[in-house]
Amino acid sequence: MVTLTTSDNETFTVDKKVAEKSVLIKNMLEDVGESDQAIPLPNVTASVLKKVLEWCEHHKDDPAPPENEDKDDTRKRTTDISEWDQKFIAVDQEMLFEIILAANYLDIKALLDVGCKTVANMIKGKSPEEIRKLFNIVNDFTPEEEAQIKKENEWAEDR
Amino acid sequence: MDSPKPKKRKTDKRESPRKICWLEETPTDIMLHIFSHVEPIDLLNLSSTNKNMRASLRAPEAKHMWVQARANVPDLPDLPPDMTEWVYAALVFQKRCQRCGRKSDLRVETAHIRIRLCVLCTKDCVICGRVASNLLQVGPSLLSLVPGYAPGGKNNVTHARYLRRSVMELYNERLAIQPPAELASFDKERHQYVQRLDKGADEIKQFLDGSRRRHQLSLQRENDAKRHEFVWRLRKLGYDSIDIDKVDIEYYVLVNWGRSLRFCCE
Repeated sequence: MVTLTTSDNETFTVDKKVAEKSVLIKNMLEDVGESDQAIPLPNVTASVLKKVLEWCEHHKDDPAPPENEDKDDTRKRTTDISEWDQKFIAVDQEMLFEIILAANYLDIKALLDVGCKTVANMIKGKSPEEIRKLFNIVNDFTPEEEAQIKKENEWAEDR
Repeated sequence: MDSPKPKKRKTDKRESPRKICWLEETPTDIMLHIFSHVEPIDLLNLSSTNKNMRASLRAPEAKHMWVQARANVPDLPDLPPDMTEWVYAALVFQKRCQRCGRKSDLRVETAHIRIRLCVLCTKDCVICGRVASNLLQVGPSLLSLVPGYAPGGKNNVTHARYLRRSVMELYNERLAIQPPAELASFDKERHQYVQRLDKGADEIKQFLDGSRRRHQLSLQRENDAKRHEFVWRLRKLGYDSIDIDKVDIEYYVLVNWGRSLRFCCE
């Protein structure tokens, strides 16, 4: 068992196998060796870690991802998210954002992938206005510039 | 009774999730990871959201993102040598006229004249082979030096379509070259270049036709499923095939609507 301490000082005790889905934790455990000391995770809050550990628990028996990915995989990688992961990641934007940051920090590649794909799927097929709303982007184009953009992707102007 | 409603609403607001300003708050490598999963049209739309985004997506460093985005679209032909990434994305994926910005569907010559035009702009800018060869003043032999749509070959001037601007460009370029030897080598080089463009355009047209066919097929499959669902529900309600045969399902379900059926609670 491994004990983890979050930024808001909550402790979680989990199976070593579950914790080791995180490459960060795995490396720490290898460096420190057998120890009863809790591992501090100063960049993760309890609510987010709970969610991340839920994911690790469900995926603890997944085979490790291959080191060097095939180029042909890119296509397949694009949209497919397993049903369980889709349900898991159906959270509000703040939580999604935090999960992505935590997965990046903890170095859990597969979870980071799920998060990024989810955001990508949110972008896909949306108009600029819809994307602005989604990402809270402020439109700093003047109306004239915007009208110009609508038709500017013209062949000759860029030559 | 005095209701504590306003107070309650206040606490609700505090608990509601924080608004994330993704572009500013997300580390760049994560943003790149997210963008590696979208398609060219999405990058094009992203680049129209604000000035910053536009500048960064058009910077030379953003090239690899466009390459990845194109790789995410199965069978999409390579970037033609005469277009930028965003112009190509607009031509293939954005259903807008590239001249006036109006909504515009594909036309048969779109890929070959290298610009997506609406009906009105087509009238303004697209000419047939006969007019084109008159403009060039030398006859149809020079038409092989202009990219264009020529289903019957470039000598079949009636059915060929060219962009007036491309024709005039060639005319002016040739006018500027005086020595006959230089002109001949220009023509030769130009001929090869246009052959390459036309061949690429064939592939783009094939891709566009294919994706339109796929879209129609999936729409049809969806409609079949809706029809099936409708009959199944009628049966469940106790109607038999004699009743169902009399119902004009197409009419009632409006099966040709482009969206799927809503599932109501039983």
